[in-house]
Amino acid sequence: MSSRLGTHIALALSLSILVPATALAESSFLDHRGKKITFAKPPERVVTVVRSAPIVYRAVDEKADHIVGMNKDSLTRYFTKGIYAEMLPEMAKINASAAQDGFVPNVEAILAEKPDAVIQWTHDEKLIEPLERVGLTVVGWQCCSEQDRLDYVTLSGYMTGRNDRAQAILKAQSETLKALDEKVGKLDKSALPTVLHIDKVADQIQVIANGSQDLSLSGVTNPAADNTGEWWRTVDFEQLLVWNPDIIIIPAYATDLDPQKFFDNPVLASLKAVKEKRVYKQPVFARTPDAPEIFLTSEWLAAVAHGAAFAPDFKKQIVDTYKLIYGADLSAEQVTAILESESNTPANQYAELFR
Amino acid sequence: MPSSSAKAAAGETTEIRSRARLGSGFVLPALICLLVAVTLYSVTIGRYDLSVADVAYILIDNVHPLVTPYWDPVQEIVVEQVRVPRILAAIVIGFGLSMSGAALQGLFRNPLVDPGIIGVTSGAGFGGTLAILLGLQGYLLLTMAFLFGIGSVFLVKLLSTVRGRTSMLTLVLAGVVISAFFSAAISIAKLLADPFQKLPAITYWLMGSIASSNYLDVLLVAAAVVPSAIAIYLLRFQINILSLGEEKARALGAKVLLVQWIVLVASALISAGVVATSGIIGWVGLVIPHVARALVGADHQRLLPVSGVLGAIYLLLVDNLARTVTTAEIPLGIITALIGVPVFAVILRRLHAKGGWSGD
Repeated sequence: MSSRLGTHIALALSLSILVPATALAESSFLDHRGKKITFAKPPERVVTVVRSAPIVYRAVDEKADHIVGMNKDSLTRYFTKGIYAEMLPEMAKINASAAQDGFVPNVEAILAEKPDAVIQWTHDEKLIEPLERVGLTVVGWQCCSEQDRLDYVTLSGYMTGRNDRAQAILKAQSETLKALDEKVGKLDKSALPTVLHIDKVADQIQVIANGSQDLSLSGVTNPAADNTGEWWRTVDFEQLLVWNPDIIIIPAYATDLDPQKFFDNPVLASLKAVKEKRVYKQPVFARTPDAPEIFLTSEWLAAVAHGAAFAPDFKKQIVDTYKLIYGADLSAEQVTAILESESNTPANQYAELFR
Repeated sequence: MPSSSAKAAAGETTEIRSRARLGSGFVLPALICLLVAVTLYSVTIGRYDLSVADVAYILIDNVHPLVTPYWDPVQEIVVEQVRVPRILAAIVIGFGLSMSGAALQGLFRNPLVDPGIIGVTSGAGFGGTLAILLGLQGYLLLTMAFLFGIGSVFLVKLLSTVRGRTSMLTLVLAGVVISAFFSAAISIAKLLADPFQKLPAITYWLMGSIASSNYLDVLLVAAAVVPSAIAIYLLRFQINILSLGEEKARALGAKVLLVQWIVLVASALISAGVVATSGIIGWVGLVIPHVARALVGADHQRLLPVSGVLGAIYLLLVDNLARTVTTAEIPLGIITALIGVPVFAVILRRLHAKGGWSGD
């Protein structure tokens, strides 16, 4: 924990100390390992093994030209269908042989791309060592706290030489969350609604116990929370009844689950959230927790839990955010799709919440 | 059905080979009483707070209402739709795995044999894994697991039959080969699975759980276990003879090959049914028959039902632990392995001290 804090402090310091170097085109900064990375000029060929890195890097760089490789999972998960495929069609043309579904790098395939930099996770030295052994420059990203996510944008700013862009994106996020925090701060802390994120209810019932989203930003609590354990926890129906949440959220990645499946399940009908039709499918912007627009999820959840006043004019905010981050001009249909309005039709007052 | 001479020979042999165990005739009734007690106790425990009286009134209300229902409908759902099917599943699965394990150990005269010996567990495991990988759930998953389990038996039969003849040694080796093949296939499927969604689902399923059992699941696993267990029990005298060795069994007039195949197919059905509904639950069919043998000896007339009932009690207790120890469900396979490994180590030491396994 202390080393993690140290890295963040070093990263923050590097921002203030090393920016002059950036102004001279050379960029020097510390990655999440605390390793000093120096680029004489912004890398022109970047390979990403971190699944969401192409999204973050593209957002900060405002173009995909410098991304020459990514892992196969990035391609299939984000760029073959859905909103990213619609907004950023050029991403699907990027070579996707840097790694398969996991993060073990295909060193030869990466070398073939002649990259100036590779973005890779730091949690296992074996993921980085083979790349550095062959002389590649690796920028390490660690997973997956709220601060880590902010750092992904900052680090991408250092790499691309676009600190202005990185700061603009971070500013949009911090201003939104600050406004939300003021509203949430006025709520009665002893009576916050309970929210369970459930991504499986068929052969297994699986809840998120140690997720990376800070639910306190939305003024809700997770009865299954366990910061010491794994991300997910498999439970039985009795445990669901014991928790009996006020609201159930279906994560955006649970593509084969929607609120209607909860409402149609006779056993789940006893749950308070199901009885009150407060089961909601997360919008598409929560599809990857590392994407720069993820802060919209906190606002969306606050609105679902406490009312539309917690996300006023939310559709316009979605349009503005995607314009800022991706330069995209979303259509009304795309905004509706992003909000999962169709899946959420049977949920309580969803259409009224997000007019 | 066994011939009268074979039956008499088996009875005689058993009498010679069995140890004198005081009161072994009372073991089965005692275990049945214990099973009933554990079953009733199991209905009263769980994460949802219910008193024994609440559970009793809810259950009795189905037969003859004693009091005006005062309980919440949710409590009724917990008892009747969550706990009871799960308990029934544990009983049926524990019974089936233990009984087939006892039969196979007798058949192969080998204490290390369990229902997975003929590759069916790995085959069914791969079927379920493939279903999860393809995004199939519920009864599609169950069907695929069952079909792959049964398919693996036919593969074993195909590999082990040379010029129309099948030796047991070849059959066991073919089982090992098929098991290894499907284990490798499972590894490939896990490698291809989405590490955030499908891989955890596959891993959890492979470790075995009956957390989501409903009455249809119970019915399906019972459809595989009950007829197979009856078939095995009907062959109890023949299994006794085969446990003396194939040569002696043939000399005594037993239809060796037929008995072997019936027991193998019945065990395969049990394993495929169990894996399809609950994933892989190891060690039950390996360890419980040894405990049962220590209680009633090697006569399969007693050993088979005692193994079955003991297995039912054991898996019921294991499942009680799995659903009550923590808020999270613990996969059954983990607990059965944690208990089974040390118990089996003790058994092996005892066998070694005795100079090897003699079937009794």
